[in-house]
Amino acid sequence: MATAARLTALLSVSVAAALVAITDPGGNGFITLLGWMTVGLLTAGLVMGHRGGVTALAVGFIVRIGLVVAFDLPLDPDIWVQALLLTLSIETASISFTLRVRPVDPLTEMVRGFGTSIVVAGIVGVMGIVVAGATATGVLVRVAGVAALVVAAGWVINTWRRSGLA
Amino acid sequence: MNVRSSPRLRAYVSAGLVGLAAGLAVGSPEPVLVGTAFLVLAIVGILGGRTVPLRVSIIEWPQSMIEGEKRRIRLRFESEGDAGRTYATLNLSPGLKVVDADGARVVGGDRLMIPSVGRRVDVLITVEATIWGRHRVGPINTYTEAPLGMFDVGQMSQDRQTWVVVPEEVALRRLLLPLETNLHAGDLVSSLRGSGSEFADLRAYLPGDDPRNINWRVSSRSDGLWVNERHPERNGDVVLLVDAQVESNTGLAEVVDRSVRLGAALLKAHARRRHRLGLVTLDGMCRWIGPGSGEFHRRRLLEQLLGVFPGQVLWEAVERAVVRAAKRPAMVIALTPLMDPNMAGMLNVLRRSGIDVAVIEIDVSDQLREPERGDRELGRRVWAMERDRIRSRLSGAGIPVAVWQREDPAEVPLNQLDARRTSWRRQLG
Repeated sequence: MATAARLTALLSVSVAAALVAITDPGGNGFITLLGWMTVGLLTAGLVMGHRGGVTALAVGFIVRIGLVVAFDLPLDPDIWVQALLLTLSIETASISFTLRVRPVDPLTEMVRGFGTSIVVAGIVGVMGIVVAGATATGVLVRVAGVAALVVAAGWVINTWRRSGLA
Repeated sequence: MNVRSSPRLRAYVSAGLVGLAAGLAVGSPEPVLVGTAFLVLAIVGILGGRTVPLRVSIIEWPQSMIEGEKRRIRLRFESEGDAGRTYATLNLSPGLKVVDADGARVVGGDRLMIPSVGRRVDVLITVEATIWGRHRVGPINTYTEAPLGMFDVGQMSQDRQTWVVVPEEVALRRLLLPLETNLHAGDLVSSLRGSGSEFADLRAYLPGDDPRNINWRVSSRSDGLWVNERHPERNGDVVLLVDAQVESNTGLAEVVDRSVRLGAALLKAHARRRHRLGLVTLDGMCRWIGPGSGEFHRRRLLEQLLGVFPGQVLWEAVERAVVRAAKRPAMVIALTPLMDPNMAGMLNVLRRSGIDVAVIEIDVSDQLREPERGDRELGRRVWAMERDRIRSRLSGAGIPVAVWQREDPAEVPLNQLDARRTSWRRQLG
């Protein structure tokens, strides 16, 4: 199990590093640095056994995408490819942590991880086609956005509480 | 029941919310796209999660095993609903290995993956005993997963079962037989006179003698009547003294292994001859079982023998315990590396109290490292001389000692001891 945990951790870091390496932030050093810092946080989390490393990876890459868009830099490769690699990295890191604490069939978990990544990439791709060219500017849009954010957070928290898992 | 969220759940929820916030901040939908996809995953994962109580019971397990043997264990998983994919850790003893599973998949060591646990699922696993000892299965930990692996539910079933794995059978064709017998009927020829089949002597007829014992052939050639005296067939008491006093982590633990293997073989062989058997084990504790017979008694002896582990005993209690377990007419067979001079002293005490004692010394010389320096070489020689002195002291006290080399079969020391005892008896007439 220890070997499988190490291998999945290595795969996770490799995928995250590949994601940073293949994306071109138009020569923006800050965004590149942020990408590598995120990979560093994931690596440190996996090495030290801190699960926050996975959260840092996910949040870091979302912020990175936001910065790329804010600086009017091109999103290269397509956002669905980035979502695919990001989800794959999160899944493999999560499998690595699970392997450390309880029995898991690594093969089944990896198949599920790939499946989840493809589903996320599909959702992002389809939604990207739907909202292509749209912008979210103006007071009304922002108010609606904040409301959507609050509702989404509340929905997650409420679902969690009602599930009896909390 | 222990519910634990997986790192992916925190990551997806955090990234989803940050994505929505980032989309608002930069006024562009790209971060929202990724964030929304993550939030959808998190919500689906949480909605699909169930906390179904799961109970695991061990309904079939071996009562005993022989080293190297494969036996089956049947586990029953019961839940109040469909628990989905479930992983189980069996917590098998290190000497047991799962070789096959029917109804589940082995995912490494003693861990199983059951694809789907409905209301009741039976899983049949085959385990192989790789080493003797007392082994157990349980308590069994189970982990049930949510559909997207967003969290897992850990539960523990307290059911556990233990059994003994006896060492691989060593056939002993020749045994050391007790010189004295007890009062129970058996197959040993007693030195006493009584009713039996073995001819002992002739004596003059006395009133009250059974007429069937009259030796008519001798009586016809003499003045009076002569009767046959016979040796009765009696049983013997055998007490095994297993000395496991070696320091752990010195590479001498194999001595204990050899002692236990020979001890188990002796117990089995003597039980087959219907001798009454007792056992004293000296490891971290001194434990004893007085001579007795029967299947239940033999099982108790085996369990104690297989529970032996390397350790150091307090000698104050040992002498009393050994004398209590080994009373005349018992024969004591000591299986010992003779590392502790106290052992030789105690064997002397037993012999002086009239007990028939024989010693099988488990040879340790080939398990010691070669001395590297001259002073160590000298120390090793002095140590070897001390051991020779102990052996000669024991022999002088009438205790035969046979050294059991590692490469020799178990019958070699028994044959040596038998030959030595026979030669001493001949010398004594």
